[in-house]
Amino acid sequence: MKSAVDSPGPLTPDAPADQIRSFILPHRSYRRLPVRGFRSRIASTLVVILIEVAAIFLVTPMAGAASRFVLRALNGSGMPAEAVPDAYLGFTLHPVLSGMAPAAYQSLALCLVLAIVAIIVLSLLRPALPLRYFLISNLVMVIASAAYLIVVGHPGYDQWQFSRLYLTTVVTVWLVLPVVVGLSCMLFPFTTLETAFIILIALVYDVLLSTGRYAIFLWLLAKTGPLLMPNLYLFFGPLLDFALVVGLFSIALVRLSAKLVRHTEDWAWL
Amino acid sequence: MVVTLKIWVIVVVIIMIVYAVRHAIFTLSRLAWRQRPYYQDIVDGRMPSLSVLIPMHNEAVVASSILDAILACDYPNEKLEVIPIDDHSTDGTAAILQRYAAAHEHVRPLYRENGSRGKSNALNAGLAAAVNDVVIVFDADYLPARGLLRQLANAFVDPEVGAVMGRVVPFNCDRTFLTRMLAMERTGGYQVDQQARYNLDLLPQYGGTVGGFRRDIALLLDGFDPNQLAEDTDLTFKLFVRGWRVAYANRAECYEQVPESWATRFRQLRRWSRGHNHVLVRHALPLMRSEFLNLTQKLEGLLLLLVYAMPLLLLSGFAANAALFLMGAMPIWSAVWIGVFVVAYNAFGNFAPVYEIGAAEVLDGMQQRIYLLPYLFFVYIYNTWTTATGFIDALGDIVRRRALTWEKTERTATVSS
Repeated sequence: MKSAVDSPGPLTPDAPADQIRSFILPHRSYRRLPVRGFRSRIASTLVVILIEVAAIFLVTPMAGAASRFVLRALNGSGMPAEAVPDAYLGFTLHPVLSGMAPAAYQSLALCLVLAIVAIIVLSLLRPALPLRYFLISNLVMVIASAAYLIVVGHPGYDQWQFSRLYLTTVVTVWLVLPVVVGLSCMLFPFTTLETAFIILIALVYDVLLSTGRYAIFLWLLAKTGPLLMPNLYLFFGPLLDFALVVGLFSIALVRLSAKLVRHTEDWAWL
Repeated sequence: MVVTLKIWVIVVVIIMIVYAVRHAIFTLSRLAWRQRPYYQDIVDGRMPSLSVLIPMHNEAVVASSILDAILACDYPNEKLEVIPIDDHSTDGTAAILQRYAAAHEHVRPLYRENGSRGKSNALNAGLAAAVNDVVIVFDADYLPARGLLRQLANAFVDPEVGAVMGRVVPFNCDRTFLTRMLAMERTGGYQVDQQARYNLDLLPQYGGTVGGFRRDIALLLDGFDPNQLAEDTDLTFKLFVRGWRVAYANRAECYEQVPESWATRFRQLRRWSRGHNHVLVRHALPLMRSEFLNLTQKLEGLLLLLVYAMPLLLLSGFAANAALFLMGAMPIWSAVWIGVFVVAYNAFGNFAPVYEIGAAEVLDGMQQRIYLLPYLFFVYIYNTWTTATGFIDALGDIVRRRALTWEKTERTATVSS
């Protein structure tokens, strides 16, 4: 049976019965997606487990490669740095140890005042609310960070601890990602191959993004000091990756949707 | 201090995980499990008589559109009365209503010039004037499809159904980025969330518009409380606690105008949050004590009541994490923090997780909109702050015993059916 989408031209009153029937599309309220077979679901589950196991085995070399890249990037920009071995969840990682600009009282006080002024200016300029909230959240974090540094005198984390925190966090993301993306995929009728492809693309993308960002963060800390450390980690750190992974996921969903629209006869009725 | 913050973070994570699992179950139910049929195909000569109430405050821009759409509906005129309620309008709404009343015998407008303004007050006036079995309510910026009244009325052949809710579909979704985002929110909320709750015999919500209820029950429950901003959720819980059911009609689509500016959306969402949190305070205990609901329904009802309280909880979790970070006490908590963010983002991308909205868009065949899923991140930040503000408002109302005032959502355009 041809789907209505493929049907040529408009339906005429004297059209044959099978053509008329092919034009009857299930209204969106009656649709549900084709249910995957038991074997297909088992196969997808095994693939997710397989990729997760592979991620566990490969996380040490992946983190090692990330550290070597960051080391080369920092050394290349004339910044002394070294990779120091460290244990995390039974894995041996090599967080990068480099310098961090000191936090001078005067510059902290200035940043605090500027952040307050920026919040006032934003309130007056009234940019779109989501952007305003995002910027104000960041500025509030800057104020909190500056106030903490002024009062306590030193950051909660030194450069090495921050580097370690960042690396352990991205390693956790790499370990969690296959399961999160896999479970999300299994809600939809993706094939086993598609599920594996989506997980792998998301993982590769995240490894590359995390590595590049690691270098940028350490360079920024070396140049600007500890003031922006909480913003880098909490707002622009590994947690943002999930929003971007959702972007990849949405591309896969669009492809799935396009496939389903082409084959309307496959859509299950309630 | 550090220990307390860490315990608090764990509590937030656990609650967020509960919500994420809840929505994953909803998504599975809608996509792949057995769907509960609506009363759609019942053809019964004894259809109930309907009173259609349309509260209007300065709705001259849209009044004609909705009245034309309702008059075009295929419900028998002898079983229908249309009661547009002019609620202290100053913009010419009354003149429009007079014109329709003169031309159509079953259009019987009410003009409220005295007493307090507000949707609950207007509905109570309409309820008192209505004479028919079932009351259907529309906001003035809605456009019912031709068969909508019949589709909604069908549910009342079931004597256990106290209220019914149809599906809301924005018609101005291509206007701005915000309207597209709101269209996604509505799609996820109705196509998946409401239908799944109906499938699973949980608590579908009566949404205050594109829905209806039995007039005698509403009168028995003393109508609508003028001190409730979320009079729809209030009625939903009043009904469930007393053993009535709410039916959800996914096929009964009605078209609405969603806010086109962030500022308008801010006021709307803040009001919803404020009203919903009042309902939380009012109905949490009666819900848990109800003899008509099973444990699953009670827990689901509690999760539903808590939805607008969650963003503040999430913000407190974020603040606790930021404090732990500043104090250098976070290393082994980084994984937990990831959990907070991921689960919260999933659960509150737009009061529906990204996979739920994605599923709904796939079902609707809205391919291009699926590309917008990652942008829910910004809406998520916006919603979190806005809803938290509404929660604080509600808290202030309760502590200071403030009286609530209704604020109408701004309309931006005329519509045509």
